[in-house]
Amino acid sequence: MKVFLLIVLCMFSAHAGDSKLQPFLNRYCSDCHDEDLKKGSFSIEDLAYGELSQTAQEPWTYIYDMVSSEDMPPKKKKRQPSEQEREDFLKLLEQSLEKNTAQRVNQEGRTAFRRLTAEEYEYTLIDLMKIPSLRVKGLLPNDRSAEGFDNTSHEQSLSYVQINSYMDAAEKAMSQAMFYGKKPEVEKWQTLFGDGKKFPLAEKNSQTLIDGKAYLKQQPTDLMIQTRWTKFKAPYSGTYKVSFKAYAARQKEGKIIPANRTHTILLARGRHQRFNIPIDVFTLPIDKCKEVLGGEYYLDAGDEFIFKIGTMADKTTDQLIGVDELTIEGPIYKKWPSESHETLFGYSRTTSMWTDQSSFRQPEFMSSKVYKPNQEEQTSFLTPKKPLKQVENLIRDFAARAFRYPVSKEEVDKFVGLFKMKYNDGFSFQDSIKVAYQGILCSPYFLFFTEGTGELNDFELASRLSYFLWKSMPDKELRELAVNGRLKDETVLSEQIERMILDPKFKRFIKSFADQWLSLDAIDATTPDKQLYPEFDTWLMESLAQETYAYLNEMVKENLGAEAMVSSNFLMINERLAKLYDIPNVNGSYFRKVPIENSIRGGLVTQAGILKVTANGATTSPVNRGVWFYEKILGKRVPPPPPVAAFEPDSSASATLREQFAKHRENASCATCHDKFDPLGFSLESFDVIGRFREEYRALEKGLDVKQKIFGKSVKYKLGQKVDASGKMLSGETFKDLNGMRQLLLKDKEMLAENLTSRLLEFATGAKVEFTDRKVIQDILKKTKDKSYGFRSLIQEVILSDTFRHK
Amino acid sequence: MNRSETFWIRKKPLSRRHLLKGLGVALSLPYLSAMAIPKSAPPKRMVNILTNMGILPQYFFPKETGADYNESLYLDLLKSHKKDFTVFSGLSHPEIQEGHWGEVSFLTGAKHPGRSGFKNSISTDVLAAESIGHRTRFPYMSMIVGTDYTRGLSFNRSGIMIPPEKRASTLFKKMFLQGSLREVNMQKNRLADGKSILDVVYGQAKSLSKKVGHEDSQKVEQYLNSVREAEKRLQSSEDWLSKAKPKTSAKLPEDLVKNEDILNRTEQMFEMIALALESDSSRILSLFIEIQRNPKVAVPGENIDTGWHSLTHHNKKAEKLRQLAILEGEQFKILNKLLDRLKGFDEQGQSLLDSTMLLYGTHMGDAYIHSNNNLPILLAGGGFKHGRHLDCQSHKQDSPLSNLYVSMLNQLGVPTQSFASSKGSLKEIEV
Repeated sequence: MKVFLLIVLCMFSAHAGDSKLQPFLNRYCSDCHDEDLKKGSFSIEDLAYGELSQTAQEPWTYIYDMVSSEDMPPKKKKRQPSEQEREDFLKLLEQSLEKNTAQRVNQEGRTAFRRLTAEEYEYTLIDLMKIPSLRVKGLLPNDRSAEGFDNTSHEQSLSYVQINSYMDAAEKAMSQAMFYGKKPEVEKWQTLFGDGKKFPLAEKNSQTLIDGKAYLKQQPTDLMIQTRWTKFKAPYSGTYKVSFKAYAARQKEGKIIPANRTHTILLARGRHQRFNIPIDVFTLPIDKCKEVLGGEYYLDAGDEFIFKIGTMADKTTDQLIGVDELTIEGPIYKKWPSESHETLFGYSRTTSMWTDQSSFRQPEFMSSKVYKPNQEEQTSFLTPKKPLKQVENLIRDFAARAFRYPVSKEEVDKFVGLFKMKYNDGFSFQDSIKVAYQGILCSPYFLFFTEGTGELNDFELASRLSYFLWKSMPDKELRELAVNGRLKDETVLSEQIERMILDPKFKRFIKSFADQWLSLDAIDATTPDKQLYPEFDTWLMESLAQETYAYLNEMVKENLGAEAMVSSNFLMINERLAKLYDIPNVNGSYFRKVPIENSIRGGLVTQAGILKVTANGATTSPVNRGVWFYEKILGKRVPPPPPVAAFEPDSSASATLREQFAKHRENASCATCHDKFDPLGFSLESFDVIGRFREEYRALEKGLDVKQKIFGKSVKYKLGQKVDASGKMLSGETFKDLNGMRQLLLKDKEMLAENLTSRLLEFATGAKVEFTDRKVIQDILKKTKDKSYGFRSLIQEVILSDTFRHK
Repeated sequence: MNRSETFWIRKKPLSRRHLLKGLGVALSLPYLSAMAIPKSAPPKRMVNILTNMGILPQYFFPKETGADYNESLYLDLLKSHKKDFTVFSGLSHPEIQEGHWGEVSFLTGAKHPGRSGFKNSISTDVLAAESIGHRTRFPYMSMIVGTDYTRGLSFNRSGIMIPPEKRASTLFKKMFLQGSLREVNMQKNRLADGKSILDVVYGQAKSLSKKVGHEDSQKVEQYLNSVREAEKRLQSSEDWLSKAKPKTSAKLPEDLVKNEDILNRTEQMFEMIALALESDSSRILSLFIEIQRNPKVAVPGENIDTGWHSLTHHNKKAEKLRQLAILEGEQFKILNKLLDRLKGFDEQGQSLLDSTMLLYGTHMGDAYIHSNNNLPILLAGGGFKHGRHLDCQSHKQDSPLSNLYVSMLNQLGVPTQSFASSKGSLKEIEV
């Protein structure tokens, strides 16, 4: 009843409020923002009145912000509203916005049916079918949108191309999950070294023979040795145990001399040097083997182990890696059939039912005339005694997990129907059930979050929580809590958040959130110019995004405040980044916390990856970096530039950069916005396109010659104009470099926290922050203020908020 | 890699017969029956190519109009085809003034792509495929080479983007790789399974749509449309499955992934376009050349020290313009090779270019100021009246680009009076 009344009320006042706004707009805005002039591509004649959709509300929200910040009408305009007029207008607009949004949210919820993103689809299949190495994302069209997050329902679209790709992806996953035949024998590959022969390595010039023993050596153009052992390629998907004895060594004039440092080996798996996935890191002992290094790792059939060794010798050749022994054993299966097979067929749970050989049918792929499965192989794809009863259970289980919801018999029957159709046609049990599963993975209940309006129920809450922190389906514990109706309990919910953050799957949150929020998904979009930045190498490339992931992880772990976005007294780096940042005594490729003092570094904004994605590989632009900073870190919006000549500052021109900027700003319509973000960009001018600190711009034509060798070659770049990293904020405050700017930003930590909270809320709920969410965000900020707006506290409070817990 | 060696080895005209040689007579039959067009008239085709960082207008538009124009810097690179294309000035989409954002409307003409709440409309390629797409194995092919794969040129009736194909290898496999008989049979089963699956999930979504609010129901509606379209696709794949795929002497391409390789990748996709046309795998092709993320592209023998996107912000500096002109010139050289190849391919006594209308252009008249007027556009081939520079302005106003689209659609055998903002067709080029 209450809700009903509210809706009626809203409908009435929404309309009345809207039309009262017009006089103000006509008087103060229509001069520039009418259909003719339409400054900033914005015309008040396009505004929709009394319409509730988010799209219709967005421009109104923008007007609210521009008028309340007094950016509009522009100061230079003669006709200015009185304070009272401004206040009245804002009040009216606020009421109208809140009511319109509230009405829509009450009727429909904030988030319209959200679809699994390509990334979520892959992670979900991995967890649903227990295939840790599954990769199907590449089969699906890219979801990333240039603005915001890819899980924003409003921005998502669907066409037949996606539907077709879902079918292909489901099929690929299914074929990887099923293991036909007998358990493969464990094989062993071993090489002992020191017999005067070289290693069987893919990269021939990455080793040297000294006294009849082969050593790995550094390659001339890269600070990282990257090599594959050609003898081994995983014959089956499964777990392989790798063990090796290796140590750091050094040579001088063809003789081995005592090593002066340690090295790390990064172990990766993959088929190709360019596409491999890091799986472990080892630090090597010095001068001789002490213990056997290694571990057990899951490989796809066809995968190789790839060894990457970062060495940091300044002169290219004295560092070596001695290897005494390398052994690989596998595939090792704790269970047979494998876990993924069991997930699909419930094999071991129902062993007794799977013994009737008389009704055996071969799966389709084996139905050639020549192939005769042996006794053992047959047992792995037998037909159960009561296939129909059995299949119903299997399908119900699978569908309930896939749909993240208890499934009705009616729904189960639809998929059982698919099975029957196939089975009655004479196909094998496996082939038939596969079609049912494939159907489940293309179902709207799998692909969409089909939440009902109002407060989320336990199952919907479990899903939203799980896709926020794990980018995947709820696990058993969450499902059980949902079944028992306990998840809504705040204590239980808080415990679960803590548990989920500690889970390895939380890495997916870090990666996905960072990739999209900070544009790190574009990390390899540009290749730094080889002449200007000859020091850029593979190891650095591979370290860039990792630094930011490690840093965000540390922010969550230590519950660091939002100020850590711009400032910190430590870095999360490895040896390669330490070299770039000029920090001594950091050895090895793994990331660790390194304290810093009186440094220009600190926070997200000085991380090399971020400095790289905001540059173009050759030059930096204070405009691009400024906009990035302004939008991503401060959370402000920049309207599209007016149709005038785009401004491209040029550090190689005869006019200094600042002269060029000053000229650009003579145009008032440019200055309105550029005054806000250019200063932020200036402060980052101290860093080049690979994130290195600089005092002069490197140039290829004009400038001072540099006598330095990198990778044994004299550098070609010259030192040009001096960098000026000072600036003046819109407030009139000035700074002389990034450290000065930091101090200015840190005066308003709440602004940083507000941005972080807004981004988290959007990422968590799949809907952009709307006007009514502002109160929720303020509430979260109040609650986390005494924890300095710690990252983990923000995550907690976002989840506990009403917005998160309602559709 | 040296582009000219890898992809453009063929000098001699190749006929379709040549292409199909080795398959036996039986295999060319389905092709003919599928075309269902008298032997004397080769079918018309349409290729749309957009490059999204603009084309420098001062190097594109000739100063003179008519047939006796002096070649501009870029058109000089296409000189040998002068009689086979028309260069237009004074064409653009009305009410699209949003700079970069105009790209999504290039083939649709939908107004105001930059505004919040913008909804796109159907693109010419998808529209054409609705009428004539069934005649080929692939109703249309939408492709992209670029730095950001979330973009595209093709949109369906609901204004939903059809994600374009980014891998040349995938296109090649779909067009030419033929499985064994057993694989074909398994594929048959797969398609049948697919249809049953889509039946079931369609039913699920149908009942779901009855229970939900407005915005949710739009999502479900999108799903239903997608499933329906996917079903149609499966049906047509099934029909085509029994027909052997054409053979080709070209090799399976190795996909290039680097943004810096954008020119090589463009050439690779042009090769796929040529192969698709020559083998009649599809008659409707669209390619989006996407350069937004500012790759620094090397051109052998030239010093290019700035990212492509940055070069378009040239501040009228001679050096930047020089570098940009080199990059855009390379694009025209690649285009010229494609024209050479189509021109040299004989189909029933006429060149493939005569049956293929190829639109090449950009959605920004002057990318430097992000304007969307007077778009650099040219149309080659397809049996139109060519060889001129046509100024389409009247009363100092651009004519709608959609007028040209209407002419193209009609020429393709898709009769229509209007498209988007068109005011009729572009009579001047019609024979």
